[in-house]
Amino acid sequence: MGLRFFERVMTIFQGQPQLLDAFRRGERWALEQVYRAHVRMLDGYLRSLARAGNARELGLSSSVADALQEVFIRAFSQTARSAYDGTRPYAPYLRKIAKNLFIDQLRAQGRDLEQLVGTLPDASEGAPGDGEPLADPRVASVLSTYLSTLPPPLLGVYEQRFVLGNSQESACSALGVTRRRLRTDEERLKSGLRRALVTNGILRGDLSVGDRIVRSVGSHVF
Amino acid sequence: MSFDDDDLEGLLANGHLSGRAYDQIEARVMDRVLPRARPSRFYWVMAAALPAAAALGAIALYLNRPAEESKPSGGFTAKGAEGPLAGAVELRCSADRGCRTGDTLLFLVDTNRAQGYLNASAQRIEPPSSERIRFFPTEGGESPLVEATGGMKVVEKGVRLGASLGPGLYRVDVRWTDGGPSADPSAGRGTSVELKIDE
Repeated sequence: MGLRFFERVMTIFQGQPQLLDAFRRGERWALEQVYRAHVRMLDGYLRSLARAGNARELGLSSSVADALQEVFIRAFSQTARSAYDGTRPYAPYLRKIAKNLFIDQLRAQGRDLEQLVGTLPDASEGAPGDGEPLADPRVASVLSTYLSTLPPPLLGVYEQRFVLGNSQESACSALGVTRRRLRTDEERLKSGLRRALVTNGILRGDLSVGDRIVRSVGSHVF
Repeated sequence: MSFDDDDLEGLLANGHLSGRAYDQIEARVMDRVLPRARPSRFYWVMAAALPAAAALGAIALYLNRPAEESKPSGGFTAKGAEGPLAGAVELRCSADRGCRTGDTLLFLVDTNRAQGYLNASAQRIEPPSSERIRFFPTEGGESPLVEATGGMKVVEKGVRLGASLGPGLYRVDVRWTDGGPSADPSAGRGTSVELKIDE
């Protein structure tokens, strides 16, 4: 609730006239800062739209990635940047674009929107469903056990790149590691989780990981 | 990136996209919304490593001159900048003249005072322009790492001054970061240096 109240009355540009000026001029560093401040929230919101709209395919990671790209391209267009006065909360504005995009996608699928639109999460509120538990308890258990055994350096990489979703640059700066080290540790995290899933019988070592795990992820997303 | 890697990332990120995925989306968004002229500048910048090495000889001659000799007019040190790093970095294109379009801009660093990843961008102040041109990190995210070896050092990578960096007076903002390269103009510590590009 606190965050939602904050979002309604505050904006990333509050007290930062340099950021606002640079954003409106389209300077890359400002766009990057605004993008990073909102991308994870929008990720959650798009998935909540897909759940509420019973549109499973639009909640898949590839669809969410495409939608995020489209939302930010629209929001960062010169027209949109010039029109933004810096005082209105920015997060609800982004969610409004996301919701309109989602409705357009449903319409293109020929879905009946009359009743559906009213059930979609409100763009003026924060995204619900952030951090939902895994639907498959065995996968959740393996993941939890695996994460509890991570040494501090890998745990730091996990938090920066998978919990916070920070950029490579920001993660390297926070952890004091090189980009190459970060990439290596990300691969170690994934290969370690893969081994844990195989060891616990969720994946068979001789099968394609993707073939088996997609069912768990599918239940996790929806 | 294989399909199963994406799924594993989805599990680790608790059903969200990973930082790596956000990085990729960000790059595509920036490609679409930033002015088209900008990528060509990065091509120039990325192509600058080899010419920088070729220019090292002239700069080495400059560095080996007797200390009491006055500096030639081609050097640019911090102007109007205050703080502990003022004067810690100097910009040069050659030992005996100012910079011109087509030259390779080199960074001379007093490594007793400044170390870390060298991040730099420029903005033309005469005639004024709101456009900022980033030198380091490059489009590939790389910035040269300057170590505390002591004394003046010529940074191994330079910047080719392409046609888009035309004649004028520029302010080059140099930022030093420890953990890795950074495009954030307020990251780490830094100073500003004026650079004049002649006709």
